[in-house]
Amino acid sequence: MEQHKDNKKKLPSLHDKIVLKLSNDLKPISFKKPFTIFLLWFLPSISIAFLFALFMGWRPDLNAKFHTLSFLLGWSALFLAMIASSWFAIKMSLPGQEPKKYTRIFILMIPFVFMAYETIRLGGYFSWKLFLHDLHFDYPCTLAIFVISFIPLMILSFLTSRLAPLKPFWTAWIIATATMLLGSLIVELHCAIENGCHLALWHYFPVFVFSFLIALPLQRFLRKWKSKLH
Amino acid sequence: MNEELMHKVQQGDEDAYKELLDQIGFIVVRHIRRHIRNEETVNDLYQTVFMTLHRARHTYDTSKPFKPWLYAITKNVIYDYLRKNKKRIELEMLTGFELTVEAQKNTEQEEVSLLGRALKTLSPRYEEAIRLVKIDGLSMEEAAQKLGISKAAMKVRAHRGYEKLKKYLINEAKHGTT
Repeated sequence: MEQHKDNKKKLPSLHDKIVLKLSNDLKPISFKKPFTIFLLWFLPSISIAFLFALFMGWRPDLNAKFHTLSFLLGWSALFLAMIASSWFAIKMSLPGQEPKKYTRIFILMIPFVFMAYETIRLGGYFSWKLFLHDLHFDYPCTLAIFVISFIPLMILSFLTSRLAPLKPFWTAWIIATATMLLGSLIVELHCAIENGCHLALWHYFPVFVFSFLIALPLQRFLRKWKSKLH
Repeated sequence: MNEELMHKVQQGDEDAYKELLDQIGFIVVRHIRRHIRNEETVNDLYQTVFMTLHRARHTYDTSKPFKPWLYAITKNVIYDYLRKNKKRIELEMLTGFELTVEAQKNTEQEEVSLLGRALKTLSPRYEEAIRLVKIDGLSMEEAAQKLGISKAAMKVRAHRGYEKLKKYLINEAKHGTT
């Protein structure tokens, strides 16, 4: 008790004023578990993504592809990367539960390494014909990825902005990566072009570029919680 | 103990909140003082930590220890401040004076003019080295390139400049001629 009194003497003079201000009219609030928040994002997002997939149509060889080990492993790896990124985006918004810096880099590197591997494995050549083909395609892959990811991006950004992201840029980047990966996964179920060059240019490259570009304005939105009083 | 109080806080218990803030106040201020010496800045950051903590109180999981949550918030507020005021803090470290943004304009102007006077007492080569590295914020390599000397020579020049500047400022402070 004496120790407590001694400590109180060392506090800044405005301590009592702040305590009074904050404790006055304190409202009850509830803590939402990260898993609940994850489900609030995942269930509507995956439903929307599959609706887009149905609308765009499945690739003709999808059945055969899901019996191919390399495709199955690759698709599952990206799916897991998407799940991990969205989970860590939520954890990034809970003070004291943020993953360490190396874990964050690792999360962002998994899809990069995998996609680089896929591009090399499938190989390919650059041709203007292939390049222009995508532009004339019914649903250009890059545009489809962007459109599919848009609503999941909004949902995850909204949910995390209601928490307390202390590192808004990292959070925004991981959110954008997770949602762009979701878009990319769905487009893989639609686009049957198996050319490393096409995949790298129209499927994978946009995931990295867009996720980084989206993170720049999104971080400003994620900072807003600091100026709001609940 | 803190975990139980925080649980009550989340249910809207004002007394528990007052008790909790009283208990953590010392931890927060000690943490801030480890990084910041200026008392006005300490007060500002103290207030910011408490406001942030208040806004983030719904993110605390009562099944987890309270301190990591509190430290994460406190550390973030301090580092945010240090990052935004990097250049000014470097100047503080260099001169040993606590030039604060929050200080009265007059005091700030006096300190800045003192620094200006101090820089003028140096020979041009040292003055330029300090201006490039500590005021314009160039790296040693960039400053060396600008002056057309090697990086090692730049380091030596800047170091000798600081030493002379420090000596002058300490002398001024001792004699109170500001």
